[in-house]
Amino acid sequence: MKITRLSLWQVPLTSHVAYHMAEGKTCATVTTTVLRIDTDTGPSGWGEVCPIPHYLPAYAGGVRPALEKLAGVILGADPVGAEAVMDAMDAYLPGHDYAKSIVDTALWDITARAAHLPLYALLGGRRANTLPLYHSITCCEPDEMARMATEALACGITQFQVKLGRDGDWQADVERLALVREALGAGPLVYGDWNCGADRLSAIRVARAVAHLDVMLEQPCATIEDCAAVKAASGLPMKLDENVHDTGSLLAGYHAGCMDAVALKLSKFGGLSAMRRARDLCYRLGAKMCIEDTWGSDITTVAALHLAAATRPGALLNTCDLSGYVAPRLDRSAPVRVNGRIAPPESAGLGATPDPEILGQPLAILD
Amino acid sequence: MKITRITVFQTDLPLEHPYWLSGGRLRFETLDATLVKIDTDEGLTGWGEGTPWGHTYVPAHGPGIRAGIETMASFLLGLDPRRVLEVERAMDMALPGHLYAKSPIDMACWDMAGQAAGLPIADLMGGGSRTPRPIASSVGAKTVEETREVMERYRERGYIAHSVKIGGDVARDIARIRDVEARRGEHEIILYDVNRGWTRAQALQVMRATEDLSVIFEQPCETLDDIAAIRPLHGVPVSVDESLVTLQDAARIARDGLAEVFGIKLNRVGGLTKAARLRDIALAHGIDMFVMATGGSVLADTEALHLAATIPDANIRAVWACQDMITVDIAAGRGPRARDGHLHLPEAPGLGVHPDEELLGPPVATYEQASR
Repeated sequence: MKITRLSLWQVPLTSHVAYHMAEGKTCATVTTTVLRIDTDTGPSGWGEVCPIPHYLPAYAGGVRPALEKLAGVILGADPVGAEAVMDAMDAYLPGHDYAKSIVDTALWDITARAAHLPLYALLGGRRANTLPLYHSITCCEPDEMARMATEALACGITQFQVKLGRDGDWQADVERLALVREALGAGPLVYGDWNCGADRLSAIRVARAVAHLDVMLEQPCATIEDCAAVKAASGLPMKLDENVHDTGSLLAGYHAGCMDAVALKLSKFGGLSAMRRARDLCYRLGAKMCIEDTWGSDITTVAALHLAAATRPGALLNTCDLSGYVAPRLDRSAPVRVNGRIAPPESAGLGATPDPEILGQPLAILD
Repeated sequence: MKITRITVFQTDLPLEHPYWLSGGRLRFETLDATLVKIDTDEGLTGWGEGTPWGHTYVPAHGPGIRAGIETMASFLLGLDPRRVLEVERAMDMALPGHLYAKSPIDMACWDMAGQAAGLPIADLMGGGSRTPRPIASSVGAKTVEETREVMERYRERGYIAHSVKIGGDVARDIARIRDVEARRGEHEIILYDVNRGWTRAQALQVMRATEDLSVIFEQPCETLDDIAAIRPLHGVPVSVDESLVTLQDAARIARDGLAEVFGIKLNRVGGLTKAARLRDIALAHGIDMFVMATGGSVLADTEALHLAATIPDANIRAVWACQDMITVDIAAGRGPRARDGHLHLPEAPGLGVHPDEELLGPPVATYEQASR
């Protein structure tokens, strides 16, 4: 089987609730890129990548030029067994992992379709019927955030990510965490996420002020060292995200002692191949994993679901129904949140296929 | 003064000799150069260049530079190009990472700032030494004999600085190093550039076997972790090149004592603004420097020369003239050229050399401020 064609589309995804993070970063409408890889004798496969602007070293405009550069390596290659193609791509164009992740997802889709198996079967086998979701609460007035948390609790959600730092007012962040914690009562997991947006001093002041509460902190500052200092000053558990994107940074987070939990995102690591290796390392490092991506719709979401379903339940923190945060849906039949949980599709491959009408005209065809 | 237009050109710079990256990583015959012209409302024009050394060397490629500029352009129009830190912040906000896409913009802004001040960039940055900077040769030979021949050819042209490419077979590398050192001239500057070619074990084999010579090895292994891991196990000086990208990298290398020399390549580190910070970290820690373009025309060489001129004579080892490896000259003999193996700082305000626009072909993109 050989790869014969790459087709790319771009679709604007609009958030149901405008999403605010620290330092004025927002996610109102974000461009997602969708890839279909066609083969000569086998099935086609789908991939998706949706970088959030001004967030990580990844952007929508960088996907197409990277794929054009890599087309000579991808076209003609055997798509079954993603890692061989991914290694050839890494040798030809170092870096640009986010752009490569879209290819990796599509290769795994083809591989699983060719095997007539749902993708989770190739990633280690299904470990759970349904997977826990977290709900991310946009950074706004503390009362309003507590109300949104209560609403999500009523829908079955048990894990809550509270975005912090939007106004640079550390006392408001204390109130956000305290009010959400109080509104939810004992039990549910609450974690406050600055997305690197706090300085060390502000983060420590917030952390010490909520140290008596049952909360976790996520990526308060820009470096692993800073995050470790915030944890040491407060004793609160810590989740890392932006600083962790490969084996070396996973080990650095582990050695710094501030990686009680970690966000594994497809575009950050460069696809399912790299994420599968990261998952296996995290078993050893003892970090609970949030398996997801930065943003996206149904293709990205199901790709993460398959890996999450093939992860030991005790090591899985949660996953994310990204497609539930945005419109339009790429595949209306793809899985959705039910009572705070979600399950991967059971058909062969990824089990999601974008609606041609939503995709519209391709941005580029490489053959 | 406001940026009113950003014009992007793409041109292929053919290499005189096709180049194989060490480890057999793909041969390439041309460099994909991106030239950027920035115009302002006051009639001042600046030029920048971004030319990665092929696409397999480090995470950088020509199409990525042009896509990065497309994404950043709307954040740059209207800014004052002389306020390079504001331009830098706008770029870092618009597009995290992708330093290689930012360097041509930074370069064009420094060009304009220098022109506006009536000063060469190096003087505007605080003072440029007029001592000519030695150009490092690029000795990509295989055998002991070939290495001798190539170095002799460079010596005849006045070169006193040499970058000897090693990183292949361990025994042959040791033999080549011993032979080069036996013939080393009194004031010659020689660097053994491994370009990440060795494993930790291979690096230790060569470094220990040549420890009596105290030669400098550049980027012996792939990562800073590798370089740090072997550091206590050998006694020879090290230069870090590919693993020096961000200020955080520089801080780690300096703090942990991982190297005696920085190899600063301007396109990789994001241009003069960011490179100046690496320079200061180096000087504060007694670390010497090689300063080079990643590749490209006389414009890219000149940008590196300006930074090299701001480094005290005692702390700059050498620069590079990629212009001598390419067969097309986009600036018709203008700007600093190799003379007796050295580059001389231009006295013209700004960068000191602009390309012939008609040689670049039609622009591949133009970004303009929407008229009100």
